[in-house]
Amino acid sequence: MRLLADKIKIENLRKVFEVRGGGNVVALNDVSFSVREGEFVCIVGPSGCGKTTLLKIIAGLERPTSGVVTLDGKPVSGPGRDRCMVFQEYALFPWRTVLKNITFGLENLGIPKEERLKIAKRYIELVGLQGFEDRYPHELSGGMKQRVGIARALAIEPEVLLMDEPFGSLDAQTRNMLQKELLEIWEKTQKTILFVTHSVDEAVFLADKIVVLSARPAVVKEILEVDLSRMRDRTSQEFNEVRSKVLRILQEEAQKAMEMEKSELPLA
Amino acid sequence: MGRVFVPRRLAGVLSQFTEERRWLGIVTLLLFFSLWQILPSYGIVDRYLFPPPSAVVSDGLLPWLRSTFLSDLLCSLMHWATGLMLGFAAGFVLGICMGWYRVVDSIFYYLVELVRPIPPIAWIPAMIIWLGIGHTTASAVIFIGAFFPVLINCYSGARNVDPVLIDAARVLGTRNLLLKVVIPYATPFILTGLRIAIAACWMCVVAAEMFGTTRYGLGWTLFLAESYGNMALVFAGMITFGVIGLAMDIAFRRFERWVLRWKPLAG
Amino acid sequence: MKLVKLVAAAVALLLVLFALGCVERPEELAELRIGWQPAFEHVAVPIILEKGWLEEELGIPVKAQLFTGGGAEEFQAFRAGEIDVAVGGIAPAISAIAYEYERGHRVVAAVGMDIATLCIRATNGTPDFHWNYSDPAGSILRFKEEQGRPMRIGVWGGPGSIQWTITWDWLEAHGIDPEQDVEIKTGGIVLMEWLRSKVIDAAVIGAELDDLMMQQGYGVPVLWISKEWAELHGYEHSPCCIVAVRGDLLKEHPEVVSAVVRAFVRAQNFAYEHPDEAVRILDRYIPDSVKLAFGGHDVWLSAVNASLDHYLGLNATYLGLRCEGQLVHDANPHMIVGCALEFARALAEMKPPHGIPRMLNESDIFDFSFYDEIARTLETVK
Repeated sequence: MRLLADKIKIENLRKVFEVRGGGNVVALNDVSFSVREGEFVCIVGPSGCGKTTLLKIIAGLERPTSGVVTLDGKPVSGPGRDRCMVFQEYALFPWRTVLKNITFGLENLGIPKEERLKIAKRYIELVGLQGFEDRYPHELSGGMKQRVGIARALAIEPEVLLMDEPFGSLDAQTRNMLQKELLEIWEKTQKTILFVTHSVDEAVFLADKIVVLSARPAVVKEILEVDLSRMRDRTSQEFNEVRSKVLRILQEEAQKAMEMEKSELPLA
Repeated sequence: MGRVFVPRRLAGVLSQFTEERRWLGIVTLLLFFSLWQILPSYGIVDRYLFPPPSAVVSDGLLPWLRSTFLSDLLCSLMHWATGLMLGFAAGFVLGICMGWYRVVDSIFYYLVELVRPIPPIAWIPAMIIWLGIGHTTASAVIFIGAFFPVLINCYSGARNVDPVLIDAARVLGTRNLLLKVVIPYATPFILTGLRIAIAACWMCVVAAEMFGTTRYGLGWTLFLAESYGNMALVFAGMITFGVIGLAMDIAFRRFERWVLRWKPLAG
Repeated sequence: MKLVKLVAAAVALLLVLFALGCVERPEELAELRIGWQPAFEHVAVPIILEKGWLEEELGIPVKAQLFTGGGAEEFQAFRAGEIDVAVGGIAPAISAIAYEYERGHRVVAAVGMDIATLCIRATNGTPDFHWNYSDPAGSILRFKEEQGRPMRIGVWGGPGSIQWTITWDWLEAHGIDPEQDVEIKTGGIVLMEWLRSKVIDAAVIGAELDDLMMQQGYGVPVLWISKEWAELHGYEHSPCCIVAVRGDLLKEHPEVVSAVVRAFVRAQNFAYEHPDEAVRILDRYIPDSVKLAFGGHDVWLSAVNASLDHYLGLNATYLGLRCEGQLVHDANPHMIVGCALEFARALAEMKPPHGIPRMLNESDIFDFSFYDEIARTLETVK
């Protein structure tokens, strides 16, 4: 049984974007939820509802219009060592080798070279990329690239790992494989993970808790605790029940989102 | 047919020749040189307007080698290198800053766009008045030839940095985005600018030296040869320019490929 | 293989066609083309065109081509066969003759002589540095000592021009190394700008330019270098511009050459007898762009008028020496034979890339037969 302390608290987060040509878009209206230490939380919601914006605010890449995100009680303002992110597009630095990509964050921390190599080696083994240290990103497959992305984020030993649809660009088989590997890594490292995804299946497979966001302007529609034991069986009845429940909520929201888009279309 | 032992590298080159019909290019070259030698020698073509290669070598190149060739070559290379290095440094700094910092871009944008189209040659009369006649002026003209291509390309590179890389660098705790992300990202652009600048500067050498700004120089000798009507020397000069320019380009491409070894080859 | 053969044949054909384009076709002389440069020294050409003497006599159109780039440019065109007759400096003419010896180009008349003056930079008419008029060579060397750098002398025309050759030879004859003790730069009209901006310390220029410079005060003439050079070698005059004709014109159409020489004789004498009209004719044939380079039409005109004094020897002394007229009477080439040969010697002795590849003698350079025949039957111009 893990500690039940609140690791992250998101309170009344609101984000408004200014649109070219005047006018505003309210991406997030009033988003509030909390994440316990060591929890694996998945955030799902209809397209364009602001999931990525939410993650970016938590990462410190964006500032909310109002509301606050606290980590261990302290408010978050900019990027920090305690939170690192993995991106859907991998975002590997193409001019650096696998090894150098992983040590990137460590360089920024001023860690000496030998130490950096040791840490990097450890995480390369964790993601199973031994032997690929001197390869360049363009020589790697999508799955391998994301492994590098994960290793790179973990190398600076953040307390929270933020993942923005990290497996969205991969094919189904690689995706499933990486999901399993991610769970193993999570078990080993005991990180708190916030995972944004489109795929309900993925969310149910991975998460302790699923946060369902509404359509724009987003609020938290529902928070579901997923009590199933790991490794979950995608074909089991319990799995299906949870999945159906989430899908139903999403469908309602998707309808609303479509209607909203129609109403926003310029009059012909 | 007996087996011939051919070292692997040579075999590779040879196969490229036969497979891609590169040898056709060699045939054209041979044909060209033979026509160039034969036609003037037999008076079919005006020997004075088109001295055959043999005359170019004996009346142009050899006397030149015996007198000022080395000084000319070194002098021109010095002008070229000085102008290139200073032009690259200035263009690099301004280009990257303009590309990355919007404020700098706004400040300099119109000024750059106004001055950029002025060809290096057009600067010469003004430069002579400002800087006098001498090596400074020659290098200054060549500086112009390097500055703008480098500036434009560095600007492009810094402007177009993939935003997700910036995000990744930020979450990984980068304080100096310029050094750690922007410049490495822009390196292919920077090298393109440098490659263009190298060629442009070499071409400026003739113009820069033609006004007699210095006592030696390939461009100056070319101009002298033309003044005296020594066509053989004119041709020798032209060919020298061409050969050195080509050598520079080949050498640079090698260098570029090494620096950009992380980049997948296009196509 | 078929494709390859086809390509090779096409390439060969293209190259041959290209080469053939450079082949000379025998001239049928549909028209006569004369080259000249924009200076009063060349006024014979506009006069000939205006009066139409040549067209009348030959019955073919006569076209003139103006070369603002100087002798080098003009004689390139001459060698390429773009003009048949070139009125330009003796030095580029000698170069052309030497480099194309077998072609047999010749000088048949002379239009100007003694046109090169050394001027030093000044402010409002006062020289910027010390100059001893009776010891010019010493003054040049002294400049190097006092200023810590060699004197920068701008010379009209390109390397190999008359001014260049005279200056080079004069310096060497006075023990001054033209490569170490002075810096010689070349230029055209831009020399005036350089002198005004103090980019150069002195300029060897001629004719209208001296007057222009004196009028505006940024230069002072100190040495009639062409005359000094001539006297150095024991000649009365130094050569300047001549009339050269292409070898093939001489061989194939000698009667045309005869007519040309006749026209030049008439034109030179016309300029002497009717100088004001000559200036008016010149004004019509010189383009605005040249006058603009001088500083405008009026500036140019006043400079030309002021220069008439020494062009035509109108009771003038120039730098204390009596002027005998620099426009050659009767276009007589004999006036400059000796000094022209001196030129050829000087050019032949220069190290490459300067100079000419062989020595030339009198009959290599000149063809006096046309002038001599006309001289026998000389008549005054109306």
